Amino acid sequence: MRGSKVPLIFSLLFLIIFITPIFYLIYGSIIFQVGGSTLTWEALIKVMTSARTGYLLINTLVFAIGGALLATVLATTYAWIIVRTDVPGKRLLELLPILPLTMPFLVKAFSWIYLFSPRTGIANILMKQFLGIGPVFNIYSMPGLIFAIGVGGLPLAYLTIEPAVKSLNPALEEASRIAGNGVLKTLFKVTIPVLIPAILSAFLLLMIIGLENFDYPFMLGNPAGISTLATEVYFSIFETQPPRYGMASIISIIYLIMTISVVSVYIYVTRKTYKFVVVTGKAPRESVHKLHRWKYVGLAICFLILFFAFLLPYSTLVLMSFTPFLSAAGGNIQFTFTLNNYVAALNLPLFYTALTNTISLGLAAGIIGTLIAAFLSYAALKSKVRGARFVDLITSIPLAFPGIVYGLALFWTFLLLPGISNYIYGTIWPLVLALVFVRLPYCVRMISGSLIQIADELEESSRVSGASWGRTFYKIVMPLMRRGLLNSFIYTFINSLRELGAVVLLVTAQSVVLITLLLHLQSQNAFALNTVAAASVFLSIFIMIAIALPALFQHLLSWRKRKSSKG
Amino acid sequence: MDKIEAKNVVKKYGKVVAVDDVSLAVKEGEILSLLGPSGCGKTTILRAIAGLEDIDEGEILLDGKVITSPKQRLFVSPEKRQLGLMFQSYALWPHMKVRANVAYGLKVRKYSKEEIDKKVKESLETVGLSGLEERYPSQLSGGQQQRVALARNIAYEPKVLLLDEPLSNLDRRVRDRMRTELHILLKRIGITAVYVTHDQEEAFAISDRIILMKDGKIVQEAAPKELYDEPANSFAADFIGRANLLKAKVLEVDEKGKSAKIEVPEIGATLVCRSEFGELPKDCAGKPCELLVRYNEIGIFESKPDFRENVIKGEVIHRDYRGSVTDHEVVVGNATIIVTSHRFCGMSKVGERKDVYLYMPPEAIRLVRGA
Repeated sequence: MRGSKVPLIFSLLFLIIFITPIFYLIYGSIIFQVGGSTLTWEALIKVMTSARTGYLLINTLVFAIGGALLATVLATTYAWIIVRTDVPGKRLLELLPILPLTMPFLVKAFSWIYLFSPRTGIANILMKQFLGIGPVFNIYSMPGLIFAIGVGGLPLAYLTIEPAVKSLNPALEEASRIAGNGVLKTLFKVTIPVLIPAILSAFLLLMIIGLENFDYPFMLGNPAGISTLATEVYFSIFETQPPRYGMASIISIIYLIMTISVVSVYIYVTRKTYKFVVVTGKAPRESVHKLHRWKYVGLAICFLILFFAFLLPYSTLVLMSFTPFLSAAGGNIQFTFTLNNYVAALNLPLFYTALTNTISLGLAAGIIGTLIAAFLSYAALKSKVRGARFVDLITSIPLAFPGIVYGLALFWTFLLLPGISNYIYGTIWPLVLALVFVRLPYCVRMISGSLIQIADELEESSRVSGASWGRTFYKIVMPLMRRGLLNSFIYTFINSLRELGAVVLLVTAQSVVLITLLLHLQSQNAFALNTVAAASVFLSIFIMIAIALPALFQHLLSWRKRKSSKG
Repeated sequence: MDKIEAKNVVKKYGKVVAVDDVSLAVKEGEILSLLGPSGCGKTTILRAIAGLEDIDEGEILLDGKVITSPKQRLFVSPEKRQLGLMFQSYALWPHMKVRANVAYGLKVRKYSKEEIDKKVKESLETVGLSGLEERYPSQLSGGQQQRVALARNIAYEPKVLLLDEPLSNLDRRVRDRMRTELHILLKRIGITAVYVTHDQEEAFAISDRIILMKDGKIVQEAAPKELYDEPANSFAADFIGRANLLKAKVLEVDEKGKSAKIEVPEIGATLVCRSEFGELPKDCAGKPCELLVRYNEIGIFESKPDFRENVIKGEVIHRDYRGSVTDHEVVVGNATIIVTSHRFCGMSKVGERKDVYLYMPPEAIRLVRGA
């Protein structure tokens, strides 16, 4: 059908609003001096070839690749066990990997510190107390970093790999078993090779997330003197007098070169799956490996994975929130129960400001991001104009942007664009822009999944009946995309509460949000740690509600629909 | 004035020419079918009329006004054309009840609530679905959904109703019934309709006039009877009815041009052909052409029948028993001729015998040019 120009115009608008800051980022690296020279090429080459840059690149890569590997292995193991074997409790086990999403990375970092800090970490102390061995695990290390982001990446890896495992044809594995191979051999010779596309795309996605991650390197790497590109950007501006803006920009550009390369590979590998997100709806017949006694081993493995991914950090957090401080007098740990931390958290001067800002931010980013994604998705999928491919590509651009880099770009834009800063400064709008941008590719994919299932004829019959393109979009397309729109909204909302890198450079005293509040609290003094724990628990409960509420709402709606259409 | 006119329409998809210089006209109140195999361009033309496709060359007019013209850079958007379109897949909006589906076009035209209710009720009555307003499409059968699609279209009284193979998704029984009903309905309402189908029987049942297409071009334009009796070429003959086609050479034609002797090398026989309708195609004389005789117009006998001409001998290699009719595959010389016999037909006295005699009445033999 001859398309409407609206989606394309929209895409152009998107380009202007969201891509302009990137030019300011580059501009910013030109106008500020770096190491005494103002010529950007010179400065760029100097930084790019410095030893420090090499060190940063290696750290960032090791961190990201290690974490991605760990997460992929854990997720594949977990998914295979619950989908392809007769392990008990599947229905519950299917849902549990989502739980870790309720803890922002930053908050999980706090938990790891509570547990595995070399001298004051509970786990280390307990181990010393009962087993007499020295610090078991020092979280302030590269292995610590890899561990943290590895288990932290479980939910996303699981969400990518599980559907692929689910759609495996059991006949493949059955053929292997009949030929005489045992369960494990089948797993390695048949199952995994078949799953490689899904595993690879999960790996790449997690690697991208690891590359762009700010939270863990900041909390766990920095104290050990381990720096990555993300922390380098941050520390070039904060905690340096005078702030080295130019350096921050140049590092960002180097950062971008790396992430764009990896993202290009990712897009190439997943170019077909993007268009076929549709589930065909027919699950192959249930046929699982019977593990007999070994199924309890399987269960134990799943439990272990969940333990490290969620149970351990979360219970530690809750524990810390209820104790005033840890006293390790005489080498023994004493816990005293108190609610003071919660009281203190609620009494924090900026708490309520942060809370309202966070909610507003979540709602605004969710709604605006979803609307933009809807138009862009439509432009990419349904506008039969040549520009469609192009739109496809631009919606993938944000994938290559670490939150902190885009935050910096927006920072420059508001600084250098005349007049805007008067209206924007102090409001949450810079944060909204940053979050919408960073989450856009994911939203577009979610919405595309719904959109692709809407047959062209449904729109065509509306147009022939007399409805304009706009009316058709509003009355026919959007209602049928409900699922995708809702998922996109919830996803953006939840991630607005969790995202640190994109907002850390943009918050002001008036626009502070919960996650940055936690960050600044934590840096004040050791005793604030427990208050921070309490505040973190608030945040995570908040996220839990945000996840649970729509699910409940959905159930309510479908129950009502079933009732009414029985007539 | 013609209701719809298409003038020299050309539409290309890359190198493929889907519609190759097609011109047609639809008169007010007539039901016109575009008939042809997949890929012949019939759906493309329909969609171009509806405004869902652009064209590369040519013009489309509605009520004398140009609605598509690449030359004039004119394109009236689909919602402004006041047409109706019935899809093969019904395209009912699943999130809206039947009432809302049917009322959609009326709401767009800003009718009052009372008017809308009245028209919805009327439309549903016309298609025989009163009382189903509160159902969702997913709760209806295929036939019912198709009726809702029809009701939805006629509710806002479009100038022309376009139908894109609307019955293809229904099962056979429902389809046969629907096609009669559809014809009656369309005539009763008096609406002009353009109907696209690949099913010859359907086109015959529904239309006043048929345009037969192949590879983007028009092969023949005629009323059903003329199409059946006088196909323009062998493609038309083969597509329209189940027919045997054999290469033939005209040996001599009588003075009045009403009968001819033809040689059919493949079966090694000389047959006499007589025309019922007028003159035989003159340009076949002396030139190779094709002979057409329908499956159900050949007699088949166990013993040699008593006819002066056109009796040939053959061997049955396969029988396809279909209840009231049987298809016999008969080898005659180098050709395989298919004969359909009816149970009580006087022209078929044959049991399970392998050796049979075929009789082709001279009036049943038609000559056509090669396609």
